[in-house]
Amino acid sequence: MKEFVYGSDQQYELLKESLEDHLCHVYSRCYLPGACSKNIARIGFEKEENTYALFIDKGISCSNNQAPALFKDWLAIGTVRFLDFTDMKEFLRSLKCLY
Amino acid sequence: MTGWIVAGVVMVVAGILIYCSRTKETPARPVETTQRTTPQQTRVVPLSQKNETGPMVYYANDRHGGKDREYRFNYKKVNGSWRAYILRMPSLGNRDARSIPTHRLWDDSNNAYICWDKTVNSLKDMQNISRVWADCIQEYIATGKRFGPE
Repeated sequence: MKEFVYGSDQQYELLKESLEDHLCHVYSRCYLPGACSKNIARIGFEKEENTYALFIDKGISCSNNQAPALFKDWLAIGTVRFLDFTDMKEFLRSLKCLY
Repeated sequence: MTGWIVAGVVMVVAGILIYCSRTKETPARPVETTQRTTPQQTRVVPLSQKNETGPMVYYANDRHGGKDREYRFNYKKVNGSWRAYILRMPSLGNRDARSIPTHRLWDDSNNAYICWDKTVNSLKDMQNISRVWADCIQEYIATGKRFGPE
C-alpha cells in the first residue's frame, strides 16, 4: 500500500487510465502500515460508472490511534467508495501519517 | 572464441534491458483484473440501477484551508427521486445548523439529506448536487456565507 500512499501524480494518472476498463484491478502483496494486524494484503481498484471503489482484504485491524477514521472503516468493511478519482487519491495520500 | 564473446555481449545487453524495465517509473502491475460477480456468477448490478448506493466519500473544495473536508453520502431512491443522505460532514462550529441555512431536511427516521426542490432522476445529477452542496457548506463553515434560495 505504501507504493500508492507515496505514488506520484504520473503514477496515479496511469492507474486512472487502467481503470477505464471498469474491471477490478487487484494488487497483491501490498505492504500495510506497521500498526496493522497484517503486514501484507491485497488491494483492489475499480471504476463503477463514474465513481471509484477501493477494496482491501477483510479481517485486518489497525491499532494506531492517529489512523484516520475512514481508514479504520475501510479495514472494517473491506470497501470504500469515492465520488471522484481525486478523492480516492487524496484518501490514500492522507495515510502518510501511518508510515 | 567468437561464440563466447557474442554470448557475453548478448547476456550483458539482456541484463541492461531487464534492469531498465524494472527501474521505469510505472506502477506495479495488478496481478489480476476481474469482472466482479457474486459466487453464483450473477452479474453485478450497476450503481445507478440500484435503489441505494451505500456510503461514498467526497473531499470538498476549501479556499480557506479548512482541515476537515470529508463528506460521506448515501444515495437513495425515494419515491422515484434520488436523495443524498448525509452520513458525515465537518462540524458547523458556531454556524446556524438549522434546516434553512444548511439546506438540509430530515426524514421520519431523523436522517439528514440534502434539500432539493425538484425531482432528481439520475444518480449522477444527485452526485453533482451533493458536490456543490458540500463545497457551499465548506464556504459557509469558513465564512458564514449563505447559499441557494431560502
